[in-house]
Amino acid sequence: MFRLTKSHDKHEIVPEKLEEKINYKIFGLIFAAVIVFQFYLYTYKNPDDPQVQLNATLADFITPLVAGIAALFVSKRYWNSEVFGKSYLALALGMLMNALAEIIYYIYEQQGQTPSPSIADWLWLSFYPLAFYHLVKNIAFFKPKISKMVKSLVILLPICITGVYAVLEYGQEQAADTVFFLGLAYVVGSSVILSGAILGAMVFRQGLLGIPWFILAVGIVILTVGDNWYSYLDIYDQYTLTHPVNLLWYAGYLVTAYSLYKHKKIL
Amino acid sequence: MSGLDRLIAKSLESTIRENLGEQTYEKLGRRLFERHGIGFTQAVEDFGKLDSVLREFFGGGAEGIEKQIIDKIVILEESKRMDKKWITIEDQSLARLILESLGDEDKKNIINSVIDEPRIISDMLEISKIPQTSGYRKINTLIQNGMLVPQGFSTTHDGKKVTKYKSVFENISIEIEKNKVIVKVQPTQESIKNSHIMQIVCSH
Repeated sequence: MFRLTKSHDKHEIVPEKLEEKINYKIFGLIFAAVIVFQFYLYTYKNPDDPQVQLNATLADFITPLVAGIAALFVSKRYWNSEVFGKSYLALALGMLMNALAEIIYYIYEQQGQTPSPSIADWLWLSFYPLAFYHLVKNIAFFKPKISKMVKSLVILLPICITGVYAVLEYGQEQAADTVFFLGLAYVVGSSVILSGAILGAMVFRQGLLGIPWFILAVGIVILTVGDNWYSYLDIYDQYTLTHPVNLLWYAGYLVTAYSLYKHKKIL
Repeated sequence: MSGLDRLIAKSLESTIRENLGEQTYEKLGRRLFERHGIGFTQAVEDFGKLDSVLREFFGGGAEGIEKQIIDKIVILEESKRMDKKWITIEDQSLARLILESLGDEDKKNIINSVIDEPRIISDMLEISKIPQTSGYRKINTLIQNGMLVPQGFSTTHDGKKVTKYKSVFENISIEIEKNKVIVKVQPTQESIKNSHIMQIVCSH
């Protein structure tokens, strides 16, 4: 006698609303990995050990590279699309510029030359206009009209962050030299990107794309904190390849890569 | 479904593909079929369902997509009076459709007969002085293209309820600038009220 199997008995239920959740274990894993790596670097007694320098540079290089490749994959997926294709390509280029900058910084250090200010800084700084393009392209398409209140907040946030940095730093140094302006450029760039990322997360917050945009905003918040911290360190010449500020960059890039994975999964 | 929605829907599909990409288009199409049991073309015509799926994926960003898509088809002229808005038809296939309807003398007379008030088909034919056979065919084409929209009913002497139709536009203006024909339309208040797409156009 013919018998229906279990799979035939059950009808597939179509969800009324699609759901996507953040896997906080991934966040935990990212933070655990970068902390463990930092402790590993600390196990070397001499921070100037070439092996430490190389390992730190490799991590500095690999993390933006991973994020850049993830963005390239997303861009390739929407190659024909006016918004997604171009904006994710810009983000990918920005991340890859950061990866390249890390290599150049390392080479300068190995050659005994001053690694900053150098061409590496230009490459790092090029990330900001590219990431800005990514954010503006998406926000302008998905939210062409933004209320005056939101616009004011978006403008106010970078002004406040930059203002605080400029006042504190100028107050300390009393000199507006190249290092000061370079630091200022990092702070302006990162705070503008931060503002845009938060706005992006707000635009998509009630949809599935709200998840990757929220994760992207978290990643950019981490990178911004890192960039601001670096700017202070650079002024006092305290930055080293094994400084804990690197943790924030590793984590920021990996979180960004996770957001790109989520985007690809959703759409 | 509103006549304006049907008119505008003709250009939506290609615009969605171009702006959101093939992959996104397919993903949205799959979800539309899953959730509403309809294909993309049908959903584009039923804008409410398309809107719900767009919102599911893009949240508040759905409004931006809809606005971008519609801007490629129509441009709303600034006017203080909400009920007297002129809309410029940007999409050339849509403009051609309107011009073809007005270019045909019979169709133009049919539209003129229902610009001010809704009428049943037989009254339209009588006022326009068009033979029944070709008249019915032309009226059907106008309904299918969204130029005429149902509005209310009339009861015949034998007690039958017959649908009345009205023109979707109150005024139509045609301008020629260099080599470009610019078609501007002024939709009726009811058309705006009944059209989900027009609500989005007017809300921005």
